[in-house]
Amino acid sequence: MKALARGAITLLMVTLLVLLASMVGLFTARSILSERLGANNGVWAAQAQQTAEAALETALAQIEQNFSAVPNTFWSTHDPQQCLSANSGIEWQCRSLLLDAGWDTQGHTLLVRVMRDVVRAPHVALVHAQAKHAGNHSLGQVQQSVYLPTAGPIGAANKAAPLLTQGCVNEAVAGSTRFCAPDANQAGCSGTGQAIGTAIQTLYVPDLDGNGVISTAEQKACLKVNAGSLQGGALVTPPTATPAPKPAACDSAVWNALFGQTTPAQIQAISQAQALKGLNNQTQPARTVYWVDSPSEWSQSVGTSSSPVVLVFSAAACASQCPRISPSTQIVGTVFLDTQCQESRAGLWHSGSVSGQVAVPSGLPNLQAGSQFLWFANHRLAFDWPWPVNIDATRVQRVRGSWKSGG
Amino acid sequence: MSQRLSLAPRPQGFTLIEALVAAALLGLGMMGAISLTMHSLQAVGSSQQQSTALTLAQNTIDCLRSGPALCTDSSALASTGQAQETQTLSGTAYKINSELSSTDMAHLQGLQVTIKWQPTGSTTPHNPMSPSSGQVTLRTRLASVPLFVQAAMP
Repeated sequence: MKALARGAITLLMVTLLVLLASMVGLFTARSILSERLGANNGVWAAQAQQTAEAALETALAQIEQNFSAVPNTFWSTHDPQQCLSANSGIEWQCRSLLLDAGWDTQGHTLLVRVMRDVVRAPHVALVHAQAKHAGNHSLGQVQQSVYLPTAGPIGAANKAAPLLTQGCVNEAVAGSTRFCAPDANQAGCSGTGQAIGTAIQTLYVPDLDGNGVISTAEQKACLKVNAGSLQGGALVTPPTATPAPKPAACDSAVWNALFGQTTPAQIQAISQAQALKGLNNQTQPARTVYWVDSPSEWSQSVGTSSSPVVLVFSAAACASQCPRISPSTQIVGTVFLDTQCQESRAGLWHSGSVSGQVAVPSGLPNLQAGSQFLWFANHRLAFDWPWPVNIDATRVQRVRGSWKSGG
Repeated sequence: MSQRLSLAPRPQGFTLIEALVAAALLGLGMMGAISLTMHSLQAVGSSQQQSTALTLAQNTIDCLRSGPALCTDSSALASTGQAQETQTLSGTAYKINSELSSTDMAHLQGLQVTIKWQPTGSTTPHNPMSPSSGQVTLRTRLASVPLFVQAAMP
């Protein structure tokens, strides 16, 4: 009986050992399976990531091609569903970009969204690409920002006067207007100091005697503004004769001095985009760019010291006479009258109360009583968007350090 | 006494048979375990090779993105659109094949990087069509949109 028991125990022990070995084998098999799955997942994830990057690159090439052909149509739409949760504020304009995905032989679903902040950086687009594979549950995401030629760096800040013209200025009633030149604090009529800067600067004064030099008499004949209106501010004219602005080929000296490389079409497109997004002076952030084609009188007070605006009365608005700004209306920022170098279009104009700068590519004859021009140093904030120094703003370029994967 | 003699060997013989069965079972179990271990080692080695190949492919793409001159035979890539090199890591030779191709857009190129290697335990010549063949392929695209362009000075 004892030997029989020993045999049974041996058999039992061996069976247990075999069972143990089987369990070890099972776990090993599972470990092999997960190892293989992990390796395959790595390959699928890498393929999805590379496909997302390929979609991003395709989108960038497509954007570049689009901007060299029809620059101002790219941002003519907005699709709120394309905004990412981090970019869902009212200032974000979003759209999808349709790609021909024939090159992706692995069957990923591609989605490319393009977003931009139409207030703070309408010249920068955030391009987000996603590649998803339903079969192997892989997802790749990548994003990069690019500079778009939707604007350009502004002009040099060397024309610091509340009124900048390219012609002569006179008041309809002597002493009835108000010019506040920059004071020691770079503010106009702040009550903290005497004006030390320029009240009116013009880029053109008729050289009446034809001697090539602009004399004091010629300056006074051109800028007929009462000393009481100037409140201590200076008048600045070119020291020598400059060519008269030609209505037939109105040069853009005043525009360039203000807006630099940003073109009128670009300002118009940004204004349209802000309107499309429903921005106005009550929203947060407020609308900052207004392109006005209507010849009607402007009576809306817009702009604040923290959020100045740019108000451009277009050539269409100024077709016969530039729209007046209502006497009780306050504008903080920059006002540009596109008179097409024709003084008659700016006749009898009223500025309301502008804190910042008014720029006119012609003269301002018969400036109406009550017009106020107050200097505000940060008046160009509305269109002074951040650009790297010396960048060629006419091309699509990647923003340094903006590449991000898995975002 | 005769009863004692006739009964004594029976349990001893039975134990021997049980021991033989047990040894056979143990042998079978051990054979399975050894086979599984070998298979496991091969699978782990194969996964490691695949991971290495994937890293190589990603490095090659990253390198080509940052500038072909820095990382591969740029002259061959520029002239023929193809570049090949072999890297040996942990005793495995990885053949890296980079291929540039044109697309329907002027400022966009297709890039395919294929890594091939002899999988662990395989003694047959490398056949890329074989399911057991070691091969990883990554495809992407490169746009010539620049990072920064200096404005022309007047």
